[in-house]
Amino acid sequence: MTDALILDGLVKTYGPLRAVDGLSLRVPRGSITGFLGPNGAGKTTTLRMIMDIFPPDTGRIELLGRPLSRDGLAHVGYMPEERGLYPKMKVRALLQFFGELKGLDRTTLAREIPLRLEDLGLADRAECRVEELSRGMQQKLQFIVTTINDPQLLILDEPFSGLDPVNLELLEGIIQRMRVTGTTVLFSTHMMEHAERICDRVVLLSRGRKLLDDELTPIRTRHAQGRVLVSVYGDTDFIDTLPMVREAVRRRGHLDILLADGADPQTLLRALIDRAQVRRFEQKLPTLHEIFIELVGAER
Amino acid sequence: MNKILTIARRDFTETIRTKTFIVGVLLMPLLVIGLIALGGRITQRLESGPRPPQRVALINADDRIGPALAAAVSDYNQSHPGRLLELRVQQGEPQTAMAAAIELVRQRELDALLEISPGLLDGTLPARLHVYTDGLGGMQLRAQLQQVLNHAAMAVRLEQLGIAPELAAQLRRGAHLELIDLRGGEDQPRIAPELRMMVPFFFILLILLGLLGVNQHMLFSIIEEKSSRVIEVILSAASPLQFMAGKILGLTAVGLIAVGIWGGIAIGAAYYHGLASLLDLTNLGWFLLFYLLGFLLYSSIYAAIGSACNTIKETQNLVMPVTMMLVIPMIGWPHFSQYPNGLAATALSFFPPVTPLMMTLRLASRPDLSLVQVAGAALLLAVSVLVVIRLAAKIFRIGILMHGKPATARELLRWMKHR
Repeated sequence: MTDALILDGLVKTYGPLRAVDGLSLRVPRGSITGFLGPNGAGKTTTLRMIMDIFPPDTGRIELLGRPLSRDGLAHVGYMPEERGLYPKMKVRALLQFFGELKGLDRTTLAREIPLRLEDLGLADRAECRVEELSRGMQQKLQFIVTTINDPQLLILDEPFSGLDPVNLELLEGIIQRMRVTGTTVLFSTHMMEHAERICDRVVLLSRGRKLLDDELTPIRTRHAQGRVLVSVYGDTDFIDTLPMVREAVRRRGHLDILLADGADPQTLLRALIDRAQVRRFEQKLPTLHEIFIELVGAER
Repeated sequence: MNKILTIARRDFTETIRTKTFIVGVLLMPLLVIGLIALGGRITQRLESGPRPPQRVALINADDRIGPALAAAVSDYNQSHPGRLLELRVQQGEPQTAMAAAIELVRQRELDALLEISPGLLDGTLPARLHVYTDGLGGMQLRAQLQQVLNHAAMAVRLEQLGIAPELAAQLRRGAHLELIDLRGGEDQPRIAPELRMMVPFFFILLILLGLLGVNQHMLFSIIEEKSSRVIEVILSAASPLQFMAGKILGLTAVGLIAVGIWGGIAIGAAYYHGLASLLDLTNLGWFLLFYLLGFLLYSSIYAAIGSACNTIKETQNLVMPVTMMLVIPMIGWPHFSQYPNGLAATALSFFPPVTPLMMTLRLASRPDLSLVQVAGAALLLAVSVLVVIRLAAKIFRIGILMHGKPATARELLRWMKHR
């Protein structure tokens, strides 16, 4: 199966600043990919280049199996970080406008608009002006605008920022549902817990360059090197003296152990069995947040 | 093209529903016409109605003119029964009489004081005429007194020279010159040249109001789209050029409606008042073409300016030089309409920012203008429109997503050079 999106050597500069610096990545069809990075990492710039809002200085973008074009973008839904709607327009007219702008005909829109509004609990607001809706309702409306054309690729720039817990869960659920229908989702965020919950893949960006690009589990396993969670019966003081232990932090009921460089967890296990009764021994997988801090912190 | 039309349709429908449009385009002309008509009626009624007699004290130091003045006032009162003058000769020592008269004027017992100095008739001493009033309404009284004084002085002089009044009347009879515009045709009613001169002014005023008024909507609309952050959502579905083209197209339609309404009202009024011969509509096609090209030119510039700013206030510095271009033909209108083929008018009509108004002014002043000039100016303007749209699109593409401080003129130039 082809990738939904391929970026190859993208570069974008603003004066002396290289906002995106030779970025290459692939987003497999049907996947949910998190596009992570601190503020100013180049996420929004990359997404805007994908949406042809402005062109890259160099590099190639392939969208849904073809070079980037306006025709190809008709199959993409994009929700920018800076969300906005026409405040004076009525909800139905607004959806009609954006639907037509995305190439849908009036018959389709007459059928789809009530369904979408119903789906997100806005059916009774169709004739309200946008400015009359609550913030949460406006966010739902924004999502309908983004997905009105049933996109094959959904690109969301910081979709969770500013959402209350109820709407946040609602949006997470919708994104999960879209995976079932085969939609590819690429979303940027700097909120790691969301990425961890719903992503198959993660791309981490810092200063315009890619630091990570893989599925979530291999990333966590790879970064688990040297971290072990241990629980033993009896005295634990001897652990600090073991040559393969760099640091042992006592938690309630267990110890977080950081191994010395190059130390094998199996050697530690053997040493523990020799000296105490081991109740629990497991390699600790770091959270995405920890990996983010480790990698981005090292960059800075 | 569908996207351009979708954007144009939204802008058109949303603009014509705004209160600004309804008041500015539909109600304003009716309001202005209503006020002019009402003002005219009120003035006419006030002017035509009878007024209380004007009581004027007279201190006359020249006995020769006294009887003639009394006769002139009498004649005046007979011919102006609603504007009676009442002269009251002040007796006694002049300085005391004058002080007393001034006091009476101050107390509103009298409306004015007329002092006639010796030397008014022979010119050996400067003739002095003082009119004293304590309000702002002395203008008409002064004119009345000037008229009777002239008649009196003339009568005395004629008598001194032994000339019969009938002979003097014959000598005074003027030689009138009537201006006949051959374009009007023999069967057309004669229309004052001053009124005919207003026609070109009306045409350029119409275009000016259309260009400035509707393009203000362009600025408001783009600034609103930037501040409400809806712009990026639109740009994900349409290119910046499509977006700009859609906006220009939508507002061009709004502009045509506005000018159509104003023009229709004006033409209707001209027919209603029997002034249809003033309007030469043979060049209507050219007027429309110049208006459309002018609209495209200026709306592109306004779109670029709007995209580079975040508030209406920020746009003012950039909009002002553009507006000045439109004012040039308005300032020079009296000259250009009399000399539509003069060097200045001809040269300016080939300067694209001024072309729409200047060519309209020239065509309205002289409908048989050289076709080569008209077509040449239109062609040059059309090419300029294409160049300006291209440059404006470059600014628009960069500016529309910029927030923070507004762009300077230098930055705009740099954006134009961007690939």
